[in-house]
Amino acid sequence: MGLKPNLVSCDYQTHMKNAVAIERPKRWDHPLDPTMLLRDLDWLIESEPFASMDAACFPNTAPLIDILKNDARISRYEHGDVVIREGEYGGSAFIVIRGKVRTLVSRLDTTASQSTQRDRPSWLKLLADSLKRRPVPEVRNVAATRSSRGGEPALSTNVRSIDDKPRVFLQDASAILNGSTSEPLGEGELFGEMAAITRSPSHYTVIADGPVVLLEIRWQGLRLLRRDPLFQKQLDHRYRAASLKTHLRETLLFRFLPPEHLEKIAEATSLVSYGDREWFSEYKSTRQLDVQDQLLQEPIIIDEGSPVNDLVLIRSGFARRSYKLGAGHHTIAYLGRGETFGLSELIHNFRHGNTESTILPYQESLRAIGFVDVLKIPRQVMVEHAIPFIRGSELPVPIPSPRYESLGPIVRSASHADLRQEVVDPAFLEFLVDERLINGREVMLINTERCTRCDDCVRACARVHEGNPRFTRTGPQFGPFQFAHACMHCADPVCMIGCPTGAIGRDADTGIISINPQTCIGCSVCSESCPYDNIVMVQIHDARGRQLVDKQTQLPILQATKCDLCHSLPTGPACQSACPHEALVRIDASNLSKLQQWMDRS
Amino acid sequence: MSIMRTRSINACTITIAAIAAMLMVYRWVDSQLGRTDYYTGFVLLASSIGLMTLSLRKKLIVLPLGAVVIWQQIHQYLGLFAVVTFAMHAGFPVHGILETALAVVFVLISLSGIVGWYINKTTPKKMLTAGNPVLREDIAIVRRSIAQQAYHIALSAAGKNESATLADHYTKYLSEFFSRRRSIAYCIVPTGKSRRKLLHGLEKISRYLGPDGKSSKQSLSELVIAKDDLDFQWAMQIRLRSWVVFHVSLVWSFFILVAYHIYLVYRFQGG
Repeated sequence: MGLKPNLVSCDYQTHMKNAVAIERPKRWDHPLDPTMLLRDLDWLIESEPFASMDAACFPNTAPLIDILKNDARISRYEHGDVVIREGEYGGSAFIVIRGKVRTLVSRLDTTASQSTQRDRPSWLKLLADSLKRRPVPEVRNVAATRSSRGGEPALSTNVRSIDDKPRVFLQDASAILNGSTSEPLGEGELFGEMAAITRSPSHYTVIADGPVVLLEIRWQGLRLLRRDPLFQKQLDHRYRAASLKTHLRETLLFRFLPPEHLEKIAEATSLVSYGDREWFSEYKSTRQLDVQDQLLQEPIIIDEGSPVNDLVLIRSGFARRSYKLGAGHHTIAYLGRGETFGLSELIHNFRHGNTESTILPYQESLRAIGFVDVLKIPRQVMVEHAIPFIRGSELPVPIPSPRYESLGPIVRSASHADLRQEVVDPAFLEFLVDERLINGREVMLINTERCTRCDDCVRACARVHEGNPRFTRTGPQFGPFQFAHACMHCADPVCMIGCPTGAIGRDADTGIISINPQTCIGCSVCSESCPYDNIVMVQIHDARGRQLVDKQTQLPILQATKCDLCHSLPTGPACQSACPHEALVRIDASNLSKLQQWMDRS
Repeated sequence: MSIMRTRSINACTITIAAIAAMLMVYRWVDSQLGRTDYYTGFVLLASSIGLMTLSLRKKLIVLPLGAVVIWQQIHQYLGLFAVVTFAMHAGFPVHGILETALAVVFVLISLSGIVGWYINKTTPKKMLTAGNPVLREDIAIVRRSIAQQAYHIALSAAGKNESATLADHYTKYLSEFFSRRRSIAYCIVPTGKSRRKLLHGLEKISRYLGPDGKSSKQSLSELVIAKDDLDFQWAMQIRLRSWVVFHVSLVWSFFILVAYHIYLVYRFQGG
C-alpha cells in the first residue's frame, strides 16, 4: 500500500474547510525558565562574563537580555546532585553562581548514578493506540503542557525534586567524591560547554559539592553568545585545552604512557580543524558532482607521498583514507573518533629509517569528510614520549609493499593491490563514504532480494506513529541493498544544529534522536539540515481531525517528524520486527563487520 | 551454517516430530475405540486457528510476541502439519456437498499457500532484474513521465523530414504502449513479448532514419525498456497483493464452512 507521509501537497482546499486558527509558534515561545525574574536578569547582566560582553555584537532580534531571559535558567542543586553525567549528550553549558561542583573524570558506578528511563506508556495504552482507527494522521494535543527541553527522558530512579525539578543524585556522594579523582569548580567557572557546542557526549561527570546555584545556558543560547568575540575566544581556548587532555587520556594507544610523557605530548600537540562545521549545507549540491570531483572537494589533511611529520589522531568527525589509483582515488577505509593515521609509517621509520633511502613518506592520503577535528602529534615527540611505551601487540603490521619512498612514488606493475584483508567490499566502502552513510548508527538496511514490497514495515510504523509512517521505502542502493529514508540517529546529528527551541534532542542513554512535538515550532531547520532527507514536515490536526492553521496567515501549522526508533516500545523498532521476510534491519553502519555479516547472511 | 538454515532444519524436525506424535495419539485413540474423527477434527481446528494468528500478530505489533518472521515460519510449518491432519480427517474420497466444498476450499488454501511461499521467495529477485525498486504509489507518476518523454521525442521527430517515419511509427505502435496499463494476463504471467516486438519494430525502421532520427530512435528504445521494466514491477507487486487477498478470502470462506460443519456434527451426532 505504499504509504507516504502526510506531505504539504495534500488537497489544500479540502483541509482548509475545517481548519482551526491558532497562534503561529515562535522562537522563545517556550523559554528554558518561564519563571525567570526580572531582578535575576538585571543581576545576571551585570555579572561576568555577561557584563563584559559587547551588546552591539547581538542582533536586534536576539539581544543579550533576551538570550539570558529565554535560553538560560538559574537552578539550585543539593549536595550529591548529578549536574552532568559522563556520556550524556550535551545540551547546555553551566556557570557556577554560588557554591562548588566537582568534575569526576573516572567512570561512575552505574548503580550509583542510575540511568534515567523514559516513561513508557502501559501495554494497554500502546495496544489501544496501535489498533485505533485514525481518520486523519498526525493528531496533536495543542493544549498539552509544553515542556521546556526536548528529547529528554523523564527521571525515575534516584531522583528527588528540587524547586519542582527532578534531580538525579548520588546516594553516597561524599564517599564517591572522596574516593575518585575530582577537580573542583568554583564560582564564575564555566563547564559543559564543550559537549554542548560539539554535540558530543560529555567526558566527565559533574556533581554538586554542597548546595550550589548554577546558571544553565542551553546550546541555542550558547551559540548566540558566541557572537561576542571575547566569549568566543575564551570558549575556543577552553575547547582546545580541555579536549586535548581528555582525548589523549582516552586514546588506547597512549594508555600505558606515564603522566609526565602524556603531559609532554599534550604540550606539543596541535588541534587542527578541517572542513566546514556546517558541512551539510553544501553536501546536497556537492552530491550531484562526479564521485572523483566530490572527493577532490574534501579538504586534504595528509597528502600521500609527503614526509611523515605527525601522527594524526581523529578527535571528532570522519576522515577518508585513500590512495591514488589510475586517474582517481581508491578509498581504503574511513577513520572515526579515536583512530590514528600515519602510525605505520612512523613505526617503520623508527625501526628502519637509518638512511634517507629507507625513510618512508605517508603511503596514503587522508581527507576530511564533512567536518573533522584532528590532533597532530609531532614525529619527534612520538619517538621520544610515545613509541617506547606502546605495547608490541598494539603496533600496526609492517608496511608490506610501500607505494612511496622518500624520492617519490614507487612504479609498480599495473595493479597495486592492498595486501591487507578487506573487511568489506571496497566498492561498498566507497559507497558508504560517498553517501555519508558512515554517519548512521541505526540505518534502515533493506535487502531488496528478499523484500516483497508488502509494506508490512510501513504499516507497522504507521500503527505506532499517529497513523503516519516515519520513513519511506526509497533511498540509495548498493546492489540489492537499499538504505531507506529513515532517520539514522547519526553519530554527528547535524539536524540538532539550529533548532531554536531545542525540540530535537538526543537521549543520553540510548543515543536515539527524537523530536518533542510539544516544543517543535515547525521552522523546518532540522528538516533542511538533514543531509539524508530523513526528516519530513507534516501538517498536524487536533483530536477531532481538524487541520491546525496559523491564526494570522491561515497557513497550515507544520511539525517535523522522523523515525524515533519506536523508543516507546520495549520491543524495539516496529519496522524490523514486522518484516516477515527478514529483509529489513536497523544496523550501525560504522560496524563494518556486522554490516557485512548481515549482508552475507542475506 | 547460517542462522536461517539452522532455523529451517529445526522447524522441519519439530514439524516431523509433531506429525509423528499426532499419528501415535491417533493410533492410541483408535485402539481405545475412541472417536478418531473428533480427535483429528479438533487438531485440525486448533491448527487452523493457529494459522490465523499470523495476521493477528501483524496487527498487534506493539506486543512483545517475537518477530513476525518467526510467526511466518511457524505459519508455514503449521500449514504442512494441517495438510497431513486434514488428509487423516477427511480421508478419500470425500462424501457430501458440504464436506466436498470444505475439502475444495482447504485444498485451494493449501495450494495458494504453497504458491504464495514460492512467489514470495522468487518475486523480489525477479523485480531486481527490472531496475531499481519503485514504490507502487509512484508507478503511475513514473509511467506518466515516461509517456510524456516519449511523446515529446515523437513530436520533435515529426517536425523533421528525415525523422517523420519515427513519428508515424510512434503513433501506430508505441503511443498505446506508453499510455496504457498492462492487462490482467500480463499480471499473471508477465512476458517480454511486447518489449521484444516493439524494440524489433524500432530497429526495423532504423534504415529510414537520419543521424538525428537514429538518436531519437535510441531514446525511444530506452523508454520502451524503462516502461516495460516499470510494468513488470507493477505486475509483480499487483500479483503479490492479489495473492494475499485471494488467500485471506479463502481462509474466511473456510472458517464459515467449518462453523457450519461443526454445527451439523453436533446437531446430528449419535448418542
